[in-house]
Amino acid sequence: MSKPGDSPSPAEDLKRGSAVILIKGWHLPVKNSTSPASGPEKYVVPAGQTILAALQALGYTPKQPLLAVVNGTTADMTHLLQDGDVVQCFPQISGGC
Amino acid sequence: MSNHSQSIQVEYSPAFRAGKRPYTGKILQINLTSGEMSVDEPPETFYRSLIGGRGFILHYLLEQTPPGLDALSPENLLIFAAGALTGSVLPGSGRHAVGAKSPLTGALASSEAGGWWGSELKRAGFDALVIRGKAENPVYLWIDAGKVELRDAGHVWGKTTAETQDLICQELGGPKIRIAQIGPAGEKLVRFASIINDTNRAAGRSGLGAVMGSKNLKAIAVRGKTTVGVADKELMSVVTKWIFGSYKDSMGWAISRGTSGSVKFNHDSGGTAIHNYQDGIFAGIENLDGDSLFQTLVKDRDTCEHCPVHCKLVVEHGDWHSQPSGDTSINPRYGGPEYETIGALGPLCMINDAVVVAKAHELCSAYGLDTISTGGTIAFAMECAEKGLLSGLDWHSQSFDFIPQFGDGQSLLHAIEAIAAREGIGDWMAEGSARMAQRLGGSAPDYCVTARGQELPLHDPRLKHTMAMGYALSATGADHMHNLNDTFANFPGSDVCARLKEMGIEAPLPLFGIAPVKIEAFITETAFKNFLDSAVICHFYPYEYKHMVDAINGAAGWDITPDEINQIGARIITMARLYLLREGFTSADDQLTPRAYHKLADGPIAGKALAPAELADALQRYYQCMDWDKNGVPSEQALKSLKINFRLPAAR
Repeated sequence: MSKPGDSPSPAEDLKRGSAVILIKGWHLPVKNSTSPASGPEKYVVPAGQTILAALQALGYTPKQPLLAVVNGTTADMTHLLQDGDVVQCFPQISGGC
Repeated sequence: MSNHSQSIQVEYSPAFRAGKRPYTGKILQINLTSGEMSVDEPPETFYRSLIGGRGFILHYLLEQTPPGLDALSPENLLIFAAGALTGSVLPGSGRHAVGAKSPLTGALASSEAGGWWGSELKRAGFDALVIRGKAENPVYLWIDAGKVELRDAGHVWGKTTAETQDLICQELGGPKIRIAQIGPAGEKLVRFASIINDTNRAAGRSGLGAVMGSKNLKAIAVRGKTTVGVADKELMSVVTKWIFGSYKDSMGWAISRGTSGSVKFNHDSGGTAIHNYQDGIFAGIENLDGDSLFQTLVKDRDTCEHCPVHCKLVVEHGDWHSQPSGDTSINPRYGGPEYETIGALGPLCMINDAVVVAKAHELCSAYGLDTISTGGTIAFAMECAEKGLLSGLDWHSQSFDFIPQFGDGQSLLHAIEAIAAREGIGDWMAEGSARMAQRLGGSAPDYCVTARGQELPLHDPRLKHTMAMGYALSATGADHMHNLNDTFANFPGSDVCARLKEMGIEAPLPLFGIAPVKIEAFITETAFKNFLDSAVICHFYPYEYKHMVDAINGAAGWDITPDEINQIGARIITMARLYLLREGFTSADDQLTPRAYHKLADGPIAGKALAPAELADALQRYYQCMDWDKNGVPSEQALKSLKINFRLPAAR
């Protein structure tokens, strides 16, 4: 598992017509653990759909709202996935702080 | 120990004592000049229309202060207000509000704090304290189960918050004494001094600590003898069962790392300001992230009254027992840094050393300083130094012996000490970045990142455009809490989206821009948040309208609806607007400083920002939706429909 915050490697080995989604987040309520709490989960999805549609097709139900960064630039969840896109999804803390 | 002569004994109201309602029904009025004390006993309609917290604060400021007063004068009111739910069994209710006219902005100061003090105030017999005047010598207030007295504070004046806590508790004796207090920074009238309770919680923003210091009031110690009951235990248990059954999932982030877990994520998505908003990427941010802090500094966790989450960090470093000054040992008494603190004292000032940032947080807790304004003001001063504006200046006919520099940890810590003591350049910084910018002149105002004179929180307005509008509008100056957070509403299933759907608004929302649907969302979400700041409920809890309805009706035995919650929130927002207008602000002040529009060259939000014209257009659309005129003045119809009795002076 890559360390939290590692930039994903370029999607060289992706099949054409695919994009990569990396989801980072708190998976378990790991109180006081010194292990990284936020390792990424990696999914390869078909391009040509929005990020949101891709996550919904995966059946992904995150515990916090996600914010997407596509190829290093923050983007709307309605961004249409292009061939080779690398998307990082970061959880947003609920509540405002 | 000698006492001041004035003291009173107030009996608990029968309904409160019997545990049948969550309000004590009593608000204590104290005049520190004369020593007089009296008790207001408002009718139930007062409680239902204003709820508590910010609602009470605005009522007293509008009704019992004259316009245009100096915030550091005895005429200012300092109001501590619990809310409808404070002290009840509801998780997230361990909070209280503090308010006054702000010495930093000249507008509303209205800040909330967690911990244990607010619940104890209510158990001690009072829903709120309204404090006016100025004591001749330093005093502290002691409220012990309805017995109220003023006591000499000469022996604790000048001491840190931990020292003061220990001395007062020793003096008064007995368990469970909770203390809200100022540190040396409030005594020195630093314009962004905070009020610290339980030594590691803060009513942080807008200079409430300076107001308290201007009254020669060092601390308020409280202890109660009863619990806070609720009118309908069964209805309240609907909410408590729901949250106890779901919080481990919905608040796993808070259990795991608290807000420190968002540091790297916020940086990597463009939310955290770097180098005083000049850069898009910060090397070493991972050193400040929760995962790193837990490996190096976190020794324990802490929580607030009735909260099972324990989101707070307790950090420790080095040999703090021997308390040398000038080193980086860190006393765990002072808790640990939240995200805003890490952002303001870390990347904003180009510091990527976790020990330095945690030490800076410790100093702010010990001296009583708002971490956001402290970091924002120091970063501003660092940029002035970077741009060559500070060499050659003098303080009391001597050159500044120290000028803070970006990336220099000792420089950051020295700057905090200098602010708290008002020494050298610290005396300039103690006025806040906006006043310091005016004093410096030249290009200095370009480096100032404020709204209504208050330093921005660490949610970049160039990423979060509706939040940017909220910064410009907020009666308390730039504020991220009674605001809409754009990045929380771009994905379905967030609590923000759930609340929008309850109000019939389509969600999720577009991420960027301020489309009409985002203004609609901003209006209901800020109404809800202002309601929370009056009930005084922790925003981390994913409560929706339906949960608040059951909680309030369960607590108070009322029959409020989601629409009434919205109306109460709108009432409080509109009262805050009236207060702003009365104090001389106009729509021209609903603005951001130029740096907020400056697009970055690299990083996740490169090339993105609102344009001033976009903000101006959005504000006009907001005013229209609120039934305010084009100058942002609420219409008579708006005031009547919200049942607000206060009117602006006739000259308007």
